[in-house]
Amino acid sequence: MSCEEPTTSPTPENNITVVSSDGKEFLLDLKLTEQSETLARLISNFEYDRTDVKKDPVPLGNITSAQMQKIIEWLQHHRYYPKWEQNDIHYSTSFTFETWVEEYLNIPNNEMFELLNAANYLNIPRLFSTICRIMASRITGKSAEQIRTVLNIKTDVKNDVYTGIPIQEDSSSSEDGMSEISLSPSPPPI
Amino acid sequence: MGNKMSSPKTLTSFEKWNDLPPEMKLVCIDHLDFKTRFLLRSTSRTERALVDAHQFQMGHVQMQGLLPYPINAIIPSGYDAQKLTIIPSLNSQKEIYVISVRNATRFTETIVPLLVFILKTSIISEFSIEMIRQRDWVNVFGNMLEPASFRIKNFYGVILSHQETMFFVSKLHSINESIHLDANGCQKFPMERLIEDPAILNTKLLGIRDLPNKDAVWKLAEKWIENDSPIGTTFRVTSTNHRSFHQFAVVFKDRLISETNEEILIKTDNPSKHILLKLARRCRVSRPLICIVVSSETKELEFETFGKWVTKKMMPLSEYLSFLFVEDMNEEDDLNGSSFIILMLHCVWLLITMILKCLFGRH
Repeated sequence: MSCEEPTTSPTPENNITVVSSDGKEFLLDLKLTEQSETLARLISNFEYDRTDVKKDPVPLGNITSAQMQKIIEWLQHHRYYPKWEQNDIHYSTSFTFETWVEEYLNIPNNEMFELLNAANYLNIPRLFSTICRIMASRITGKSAEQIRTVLNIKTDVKNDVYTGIPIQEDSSSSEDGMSEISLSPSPPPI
Repeated sequence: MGNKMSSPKTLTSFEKWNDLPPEMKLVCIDHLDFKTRFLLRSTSRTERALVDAHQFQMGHVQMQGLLPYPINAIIPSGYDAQKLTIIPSLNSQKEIYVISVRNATRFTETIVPLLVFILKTSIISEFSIEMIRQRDWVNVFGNMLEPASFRIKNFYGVILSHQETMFFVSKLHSINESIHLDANGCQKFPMERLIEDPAILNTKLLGIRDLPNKDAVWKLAEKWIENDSPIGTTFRVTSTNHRSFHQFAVVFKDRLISETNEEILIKTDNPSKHILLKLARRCRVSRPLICIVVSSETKELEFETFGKWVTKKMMPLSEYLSFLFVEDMNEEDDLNGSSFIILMLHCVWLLITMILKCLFGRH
């Protein structure tokens, strides 16, 4: 993956203005907007990539200025990265992230939540997928009880969907690699 | 900015999980390994529904006895110990789960729900299931599984009863690529019912071992002609009745293009397709046949490539022992000298157990 520093700055011909929900304007290089499928589609539809077309500011009603600032930081860092491929999304038994990404996403949970929503709204797949991977990394390798704690899940499981039998935690076995798995007893007619 | 990679250190919890819409949760679940997914579904009804609604890819699932066939067939134990092997990804075999069960309670509490979960929610590349003694998979699963619901690409039914064979085949979805079954040399193998099943008709490769039905090959070929099955559709069969080969030529005499001692080529209703029946390389007592839909432009010289298939045959114990003493073992056989030694050791162990029981009794 290439990761060169951006060397060009936005000029009126190659940028658009986006307006956050709190009214702050941001000048965005058209090259950066290629990472957002929402913005790229909008630019294509309105032909904002043509120099002879007047570019009206684009209102982003769901994105605050703080979120927009954070997103621009992401877009600039990944400016020269290759285009995101859907195939890149696959589960991994170990999670590793770039140091920059780890620092970038070392933010409070509410900010992470808002950033995920913003990434989803603007359709920035690399950012969206990275945040999802971060979240997955938080529960991978944990027991069911630990997952409940980490994700703040209030259990409401009473019956197994397959058998209708009340759920009981099975932690009796230690001879196999799935010992922590919670399995419901399901005595079928034998 | 560098590309240094590191594991997350400061990220410990995410209490906003419950505020995420289901579609975003699903993307997160996409990144989870099999075990964590399974654990997540036990945390709440919402998470369970979410995980269950989301299909995921599974590499290899195998349900087998702890003792290999034919050894398990001669051990008169009360319960046939089982082993469930799960390899979520065939590309990365770092994640392998092996669950051994030695009692019926653990089997029903652990293995069955896990198998049901896997069969209902995953697209499995390879699924292999063996007969377990004193139990019937049809009863074990009961009504928990819907017809044509298994998304299994390659199915291996090892020494199943006829009822179990029909049960699993009826559950296979049409995405199936290959089906491998054992007829166990039984004359009553339900071949006629099987070839009516869409999964059998649509599979790219059907393999049946120890099939004595002399009419199986031509009856399946008739179905292929009727359905205009695609080029490459293959039926591999061993130990078939020795009359199968010549009977094929008799049945399709009106369609016959060429016939030799090893190959029969017939026309189909589609001018671009022919069906080739070929005696594959002979191996031991088996009589491997391959029947395949080929392009009508396939050259005769290429037919030889279709015959380069050697069966990995399961054989009855008596048959196995009979040729052990008259022929040399071959590397290509499933059953080799080492398995014979294991078999003998088990026999010795059984003998000692019986002698001890006789001498000291249970009390």
